[in-house]
Amino acid sequence: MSKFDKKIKEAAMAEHREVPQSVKKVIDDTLDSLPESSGKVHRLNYVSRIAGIAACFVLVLFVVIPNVSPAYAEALEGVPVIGKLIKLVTVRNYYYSDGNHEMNIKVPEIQDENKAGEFINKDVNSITEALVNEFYKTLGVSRNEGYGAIYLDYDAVTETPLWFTLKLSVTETAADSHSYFKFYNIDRVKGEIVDLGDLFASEDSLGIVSEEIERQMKSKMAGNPELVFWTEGTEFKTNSQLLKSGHNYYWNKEGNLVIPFDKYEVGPGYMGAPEFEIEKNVIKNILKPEYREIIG
Amino acid sequence: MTEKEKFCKNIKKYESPMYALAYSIVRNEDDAADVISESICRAYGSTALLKNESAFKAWILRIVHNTAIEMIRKNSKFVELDTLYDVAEKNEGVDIATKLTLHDAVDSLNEPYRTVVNLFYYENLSVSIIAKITGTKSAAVRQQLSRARKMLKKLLNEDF
Repeated sequence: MSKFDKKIKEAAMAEHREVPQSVKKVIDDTLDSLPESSGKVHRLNYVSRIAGIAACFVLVLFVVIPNVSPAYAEALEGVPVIGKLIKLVTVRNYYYSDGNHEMNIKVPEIQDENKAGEFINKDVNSITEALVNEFYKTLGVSRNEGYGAIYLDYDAVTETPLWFTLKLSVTETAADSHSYFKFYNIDRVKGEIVDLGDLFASEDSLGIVSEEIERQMKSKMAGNPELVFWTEGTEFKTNSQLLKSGHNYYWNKEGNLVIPFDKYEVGPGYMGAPEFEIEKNVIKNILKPEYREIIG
Repeated sequence: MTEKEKFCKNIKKYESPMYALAYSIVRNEDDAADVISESICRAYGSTALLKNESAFKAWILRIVHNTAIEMIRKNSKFVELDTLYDVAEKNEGVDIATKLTLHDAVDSLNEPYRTVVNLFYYENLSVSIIAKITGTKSAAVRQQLSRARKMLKKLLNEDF
């Protein structure tokens, strides 16, 4: 240790750093509010003033009851119509707001003539029902304390004659905000759901795409020391391959493959939810022949 | 001792470094309190993930660090993160007419220098642990410490 470091450390140790009483009280109150078992903690219960508790406690509870009739679907505004075979509509909207807690969950439904839509609709339903149930469960426990919100929205990110991609975006807000996504890809020619692994002729191909992402991560970090990704050789890199067959993906307007990651998946929280664009030329030779037309 | 009692004891033991770290990032007593409160809840919900209790300090400080950074990112009332990091060396070359205490000198640093100085000098943590807490690489922490040293030397030259 250098002489300078030693002196600074001595001076630092000599400083008496007090935690203000108001902060100690917040800490004590938070500790008191913890349940006996750590397994029962839910973030929503304990967030205090962070998001700003609204002064107004007007209770608004509004749930659009499911209505799946074609007439209702067509009456909805902004309904994307994908060709003649696929329609994407909002069939339910769970909305709740009491000033402290808010939920806005839009439930989409794909209306088409094949089983891909049916499968996706069931999956979306199970996700949204779980979110709504969890919200009300937490609401019952928190008893007007704290703040929390959950939002689910959707978007058709790819709409071409060959392809359709539905993106679900879930955002949970309490002290912080967490977003996570799910992408459903439909090959419109076959009328089938296509996982990332299904795009490629060989099982090794996911490794090639994973390596390309690692290369991009390293390149970005080399260009900016504040960027951190958990690449090979770093502490939090898992030994397993970066991509699995069911990983999220979509095609962008340029026909490049885009691989999104959730927050914390490949880097610390402040890196957000990064996406990596895989250029056509990286994958053109490893795609199954029937999918090469997509990249143009 | 119950799970909760053990957890509370650890939090009380490290409340000072938790506050110092939170404050060094959000720069406001009330917001630092909120960061700590949220961090405690997050940590308690994840205690099962902490296998080695001797790592509690680094673990909880990492949670505090991430919570504070996320709060800055989402809340417009805080200083923009880019601003925090971009103006890192503005204090270099400042002509200090009066003697600064170490506390004042550290307080005048920008991020990420304030945080690494706090963890290295005040908390006596190693570079590798600081890298874990701040989610960066040891090499980056060493570089930040090196720059922070230069800034502190200029600010404290009469005393150190």
